Amino acid sequence: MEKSTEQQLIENVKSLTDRMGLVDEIFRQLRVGRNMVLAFQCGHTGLFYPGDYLKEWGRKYGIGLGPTPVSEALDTDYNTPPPEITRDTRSLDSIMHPVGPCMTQLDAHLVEAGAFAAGKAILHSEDPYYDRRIVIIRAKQMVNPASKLPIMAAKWAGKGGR
Amino acid sequence: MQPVIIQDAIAIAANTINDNVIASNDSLRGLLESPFPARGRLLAVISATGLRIDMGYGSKLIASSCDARVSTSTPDDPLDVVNDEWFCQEGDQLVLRAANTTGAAITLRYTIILEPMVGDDFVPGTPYQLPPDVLVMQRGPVSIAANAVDVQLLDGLRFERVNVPSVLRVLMTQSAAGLFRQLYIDQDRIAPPSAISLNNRIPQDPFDSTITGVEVPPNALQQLQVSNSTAGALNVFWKTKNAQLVRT
Repeated sequence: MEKSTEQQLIENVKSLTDRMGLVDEIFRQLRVGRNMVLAFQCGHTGLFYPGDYLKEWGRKYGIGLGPTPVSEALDTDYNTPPPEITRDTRSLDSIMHPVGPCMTQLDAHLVEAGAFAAGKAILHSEDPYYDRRIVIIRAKQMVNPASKLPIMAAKWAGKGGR
Repeated sequence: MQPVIIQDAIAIAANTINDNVIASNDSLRGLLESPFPARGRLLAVISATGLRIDMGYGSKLIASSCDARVSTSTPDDPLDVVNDEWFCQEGDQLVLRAANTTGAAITLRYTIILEPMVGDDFVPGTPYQLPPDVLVMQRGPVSIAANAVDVQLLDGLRFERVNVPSVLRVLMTQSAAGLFRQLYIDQDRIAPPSAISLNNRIPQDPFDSTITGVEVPPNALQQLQVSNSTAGALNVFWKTKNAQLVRT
């Protein structure tokens, strides 16, 4: 492991605890060929956030979400109905159940680098207008039984797309 | 005479502007106009960043282009108050405008409380002398680049200058340590560089108050400057409240 990577790992763990057992475990796993990384897992979505999430809270992550680190993963509010289709609605893409950061607890884990990459969350700083995340969330809203979006999609299609 | 309370949670579609969210809810249409001379209070939170609101009554604007705190629940009173000192006449139409510039639908949860300034003996149609309004702007997050200075956070905004004498209060927070703020009124430095609260959210009154009691002459430039002395970008959240001394 490179020196800078090791130093960053130590600083990330120090933001969590004074005990360096996690660092020792990472090096132990590395000796048997398993590349483990420190990650923070969202309690609601199960998505992973990088190991510097706590250390960089308010700088790279969680801008505007308060002083306590929480998950910035998006969640759908099925209790609030989607906006009505009006004469100003140009595309069904603008109609959906509203979303917002779930703000649930995060748990620190050691995960394999491959698993981290597969389950990594899209950061808000990478997608500030939600364009990438909304594609994923809309697909979930179309199949969720609590969603009104399929009904509205049918209404939109019935009006010939207007 | 009882206060009127308007409370709703409404989804604002992606990339759209709702010119009056009160009118969007059919059950609230009967409350569009104030039934008596009243003191108004506006509270608001949003489900995700990217939604801005404007509030006015009649032809007057009392909250201009305001961001709100991100929350998953209803607004807290009094912490999520946007403006709680505006005064409308009987019959003034309430307008709460919401603009969503993102690709996702966002929920606006708001409460408007109209507290009567008159008693049960009020005769509708009688003119009533009202106090001056407080004018509010609040924004955040506003990114300040590493080792950079934003010389005027209020640049080009509606209440950068107020055309009557007023008393200014400023509330601010930052997302992480490293920002310093200064305030100038025209050429005069009113507040030297000072650190601000670390709460990483829209400022709450009174906890995040940083400058109070500043007398602002009519049409004077209110210059709120922020500097970032760190090696990474930081975000600032700010709120200005101009208590007008003359009713316009």
